[in-house]
Amino acid sequence: MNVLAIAAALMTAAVLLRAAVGKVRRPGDLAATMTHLGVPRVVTAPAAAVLISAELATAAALLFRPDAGLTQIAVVTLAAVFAAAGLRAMQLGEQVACNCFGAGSGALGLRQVLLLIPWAAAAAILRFGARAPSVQTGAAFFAAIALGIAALEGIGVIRGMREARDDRRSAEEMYEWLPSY
Amino acid sequence: MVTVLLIAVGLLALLVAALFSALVEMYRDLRQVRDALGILDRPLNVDIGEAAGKRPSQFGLPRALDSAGVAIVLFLTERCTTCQALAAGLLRPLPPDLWVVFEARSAESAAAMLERYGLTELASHGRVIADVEGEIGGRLDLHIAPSGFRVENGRFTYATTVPSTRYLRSILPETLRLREAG
Repeated sequence: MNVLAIAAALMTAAVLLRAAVGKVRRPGDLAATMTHLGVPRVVTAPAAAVLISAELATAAALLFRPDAGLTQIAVVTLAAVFAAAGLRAMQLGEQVACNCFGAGSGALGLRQVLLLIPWAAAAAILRFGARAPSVQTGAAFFAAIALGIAALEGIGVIRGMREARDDRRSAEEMYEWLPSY
Repeated sequence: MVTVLLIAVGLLALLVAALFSALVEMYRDLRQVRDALGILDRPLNVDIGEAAGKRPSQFGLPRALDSAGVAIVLFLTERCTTCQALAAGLLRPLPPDLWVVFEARSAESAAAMLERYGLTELASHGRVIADVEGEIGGRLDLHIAPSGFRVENGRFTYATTVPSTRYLRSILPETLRLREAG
């Protein structure tokens, strides 16, 4: 497998895994986005579960079978679903929370439509350059990506911890001042 | 075996990532609660009355402030715990546009306070001023501490309370440094 195909497979898998992890913690947020887009409330919960599963399955397929036609079709299909959601949000003319990577992921819109291009490009690269890695190699890729995602979230934790510590100190100073005022 | 271990590592890492993500969200919620309670760097306006538009030297402050483009005059008192926290948290050397006025009951207690916070040497340079018996504060009709008076083009413009060290740092004027041309 050439370097470009490996990079395309790993990056696409990383994005999908990160997205799935973000969504799986609070599937209700994803269901709320779907409701906002017009999906009937009764099907939003199963639809959210299907989307998260599809992301996880596609990520796994990218790591173990990037050469399979089904994998490439799954990548393009997911990209098309995201782009359709972006188009629908633009049609509604309202701010629809994306929840693409969990809470706080911005709003749906033109970005999802434009991202169809790199998604399709990745699928095309895999179509013409991917070869199935060994199971052990796929597992190593999976472990590396998962550790990378955990490290990124860890950076967020450190940042949040510092901010909370500063807030606590500021609040303590404010508390000490309030009675005299 | 290696494959199974790698997959297990990957799954554990994803679980850790999900837990970290939940922790980040908790920190955000905590910040939101503190903000809603109004205890996050929430300054109050201080009415500076007749001092608005006047030169700081008219109230007993150093003449150098009359030619300051932008400056903050921080008023602290020895009786206020937050003032002590601010004094302890002051950057050394003092930022160039920060002046500190310490109100104290007597010259001895002023000297003791400056000594306690390592500001005696800074006092000798003139930007840390001991306000014995609150003479300067009295002329400004100031009854709240800690408070920060803003000076622009050598005149008082407005003042706020300074509820925390972090807020003080946020209101300090930023010094722009220009590169030499060529």
